[in-house]
Amino acid sequence: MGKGTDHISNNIRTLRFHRDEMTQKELAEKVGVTRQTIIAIEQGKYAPSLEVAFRIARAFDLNLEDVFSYTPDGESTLNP
Amino acid sequence: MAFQERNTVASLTVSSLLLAFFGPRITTMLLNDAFLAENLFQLWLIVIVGMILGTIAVTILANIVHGAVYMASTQQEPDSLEYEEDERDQLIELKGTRVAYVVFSFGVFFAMLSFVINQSPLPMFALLIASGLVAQMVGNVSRLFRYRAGA
Repeated sequence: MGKGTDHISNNIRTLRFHRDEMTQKELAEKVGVTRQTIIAIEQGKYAPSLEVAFRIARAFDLNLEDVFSYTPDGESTLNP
Repeated sequence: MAFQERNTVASLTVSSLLLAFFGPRITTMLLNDAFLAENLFQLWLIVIVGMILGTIAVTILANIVHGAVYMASTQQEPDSLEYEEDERDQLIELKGTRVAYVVFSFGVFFAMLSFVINQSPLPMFALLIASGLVAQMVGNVSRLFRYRAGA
């Protein structure tokens, strides 16, 4: 947790927008974390635990990989 | 500012005030040849009791003021979820505690070093309480930094 957050990206902001502009507070309530944690996750400053990641995906009725994506080191140069 | 962040600021304020109280007192004792067990343990008592009661009082006060300002500006009660601790708060708390332990262990090392150079036990007790206060401050600063940086 916390380390390597630059390799983990998410599209929570876009998903919230497509869910009738769901607020960060509403998502936080659904997931069971504070609004500050949702802000940190959205900004890519904090990589959540697997459990919270699954809860976020479930809040949008999506699979984990539809919300979060992981880019290993050097993948962008191998697959331009 | 989140609930846990406010509590960290409250604790940081109290430990800063106590250190500002403790430093000059010790200096005065040393300058006036009053560095005696009785005076030092009295200071210990003030610092420890001040730390516990001060942190509780400042935390309660900060949250009452925050709640009042929030209600006055939004006409709503603060969200109960904001008062709960989640995994990020726990992680930041743990990392802050680890930093505080490292700082405190340096203090303990120097306190023990005072025995090696044949000092009386009093400097050891003074160093222990001072390093405890500094460790608390550094740990809280580290927590605040992590709250701002993410985790």
